[in-house]
Amino acid sequence: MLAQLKSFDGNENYLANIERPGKYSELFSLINSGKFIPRGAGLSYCLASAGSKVTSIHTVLFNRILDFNRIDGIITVESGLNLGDFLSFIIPEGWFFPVLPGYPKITIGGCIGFNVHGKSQYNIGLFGDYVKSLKLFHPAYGEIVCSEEENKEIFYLTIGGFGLTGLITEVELKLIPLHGRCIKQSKINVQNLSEAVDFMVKRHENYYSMYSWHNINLYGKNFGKGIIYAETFYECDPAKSAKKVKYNSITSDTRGKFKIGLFNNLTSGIESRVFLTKERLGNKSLIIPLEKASFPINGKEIYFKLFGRKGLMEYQMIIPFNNWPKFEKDFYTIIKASRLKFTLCSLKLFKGEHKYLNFTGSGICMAIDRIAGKKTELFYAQLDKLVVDNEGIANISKDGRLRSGQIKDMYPGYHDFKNKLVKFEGVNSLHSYLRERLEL
Amino acid sequence: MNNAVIIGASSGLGRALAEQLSTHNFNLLLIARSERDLLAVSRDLKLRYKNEVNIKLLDFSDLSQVDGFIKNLETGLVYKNFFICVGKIIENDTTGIEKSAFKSMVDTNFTAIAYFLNKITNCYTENQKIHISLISSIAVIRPRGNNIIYSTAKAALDFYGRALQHKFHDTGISIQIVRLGYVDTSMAYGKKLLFPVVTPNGAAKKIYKLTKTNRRIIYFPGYWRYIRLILNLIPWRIYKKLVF
Repeated sequence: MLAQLKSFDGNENYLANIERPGKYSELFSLINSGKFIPRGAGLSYCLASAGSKVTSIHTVLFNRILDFNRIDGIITVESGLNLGDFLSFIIPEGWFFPVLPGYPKITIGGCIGFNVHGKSQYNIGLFGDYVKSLKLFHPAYGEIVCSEEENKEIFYLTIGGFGLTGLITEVELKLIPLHGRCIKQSKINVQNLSEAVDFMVKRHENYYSMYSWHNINLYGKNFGKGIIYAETFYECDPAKSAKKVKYNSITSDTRGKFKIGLFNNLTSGIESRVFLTKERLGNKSLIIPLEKASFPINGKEIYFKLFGRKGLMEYQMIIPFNNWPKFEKDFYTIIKASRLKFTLCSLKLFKGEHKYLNFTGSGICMAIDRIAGKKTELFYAQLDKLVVDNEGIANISKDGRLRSGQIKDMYPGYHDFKNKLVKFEGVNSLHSYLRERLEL
Repeated sequence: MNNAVIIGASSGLGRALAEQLSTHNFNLLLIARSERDLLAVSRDLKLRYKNEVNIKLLDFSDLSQVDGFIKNLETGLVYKNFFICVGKIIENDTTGIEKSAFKSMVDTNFTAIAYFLNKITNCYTENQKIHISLISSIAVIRPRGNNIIYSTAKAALDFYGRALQHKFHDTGISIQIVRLGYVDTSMAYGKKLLFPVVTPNGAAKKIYKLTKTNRRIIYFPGYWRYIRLILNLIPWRIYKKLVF
């Protein structure tokens, strides 16, 4: 079926062929019948799951739990299972999965495709660190098992491989024991970005996860005035904790439901002030059920809808710790010169080695949001230069604007990934707009 | 504990019914052709709901396989509920269809199910209580030039179901015919339809709820009842000109 497929941020919009098989026979027949690309929930900020003359295979009906070892905490699932359903199953069993991006409808296949991170990347790593093995279907190779022991190279190409190595049919995941049915969230006020970074670097060991929100529309010593959310597990009554946690559903279509958005340069500034005041005046310590705390975006879908059909543009980057002070100074300079207002700025700590095109490394991870448009694009182009100058990287999954040129400059593993992908996927059965854009 | 047989349980409505019945602690026998799909559904249900789920691989368009299955069932006869969700639709279901495709459509949508009902109802004594939910379609409302074989086979099945309702009206064998509107399964995916689709889970929930009633023929969503009335009132000279 032909459909208009959009990226979640609303900036990429193409007519594509999409199919949603419900049986394995239908799935394999589609894979063998021509160029394809797997599609999970379709919630990625860039359009990685569609391409021209390519069939997008929507995997959401392959969402079953196939095996579960209650003693070792090893679980086998199909790749179309979403994180909300996954968590609803494992938590009552006394297990937890530590790497959860903000929204419950994201599929496990999608998480592997981008090797996503959660709120506590510094302490627990990336999604791929918890993948024990996976089954991958590629028309040239059939269904192959990939793990640290078997087809190791394909295993690592697939984790963070944007779905370009094949369609993942099954995934074996390692769970961690549950340390509490609730999350205790403490809010710490900070006066600016530097203070936040200092606090996070010094205190990260005391918390399970730590992230922050900042108002970067204020200049001077208050640049980045904000709040740090520091979280630890907390034991609470399971019956009470599981009560009424409902997972919502937003798609790229429903996100852009409002023709006209509410955010502009004026309202973005107001929104930031209002949110910060509300958070600073609110309760400094909260006990939140784990099912709810795991997905901070759930229930806040209106934020994305208020950008309207025009959409938003997010820029997420990692700047090495050593380069952060210089970057922060330069960032302040260009932001002040631009006079642009942003709706969000958030920080996290990151730890890891660069590999292929995975969004990882050691440093400060910062994400900013602004209404889509020419001015934002120009500002982000300036930011690209700043990120490269400071040996940082931008997150490919968040940004449909990035081209191969920028990615080559940022990611030392670009050529290695490309060469290995072409070697494995020489028949070129998989294709997407992302592959085209990054010249992979 | 209650139990049920679901025929066509590997995907779509059958799979949703399996999940719905599992939430009500039913033990299940799931029947379909594809081993991998059936295994995935049964493992998932067992892990999530901790009920007993057995599977049986069966090509329901092959009558000899249906015979063998009924022989096996006769030895136990423990099952009290049957949900028959088998259905097959092909692209360009109009005139000039090849013999094998024609036969497969008729066998899957009518012959095999009618044959199964013919045998299974005979296995139970009139005092034993069993329930059969027969999934029909709103395609049976009035013939049209699209999906010709599918709607004809479904109409035959619908007719057969009503005949059985008449025969067993005074016994413990209850047969419910559910004329389903558009359901968001692979049969409807991506098609431009005149009315909204319902989710398989929504339909399954309704079908389960209806098993507790004495209603013989049900339209779901309910507004199809009125569409049926309107369509049947349209005079032929106008109806023949409608394209849908």
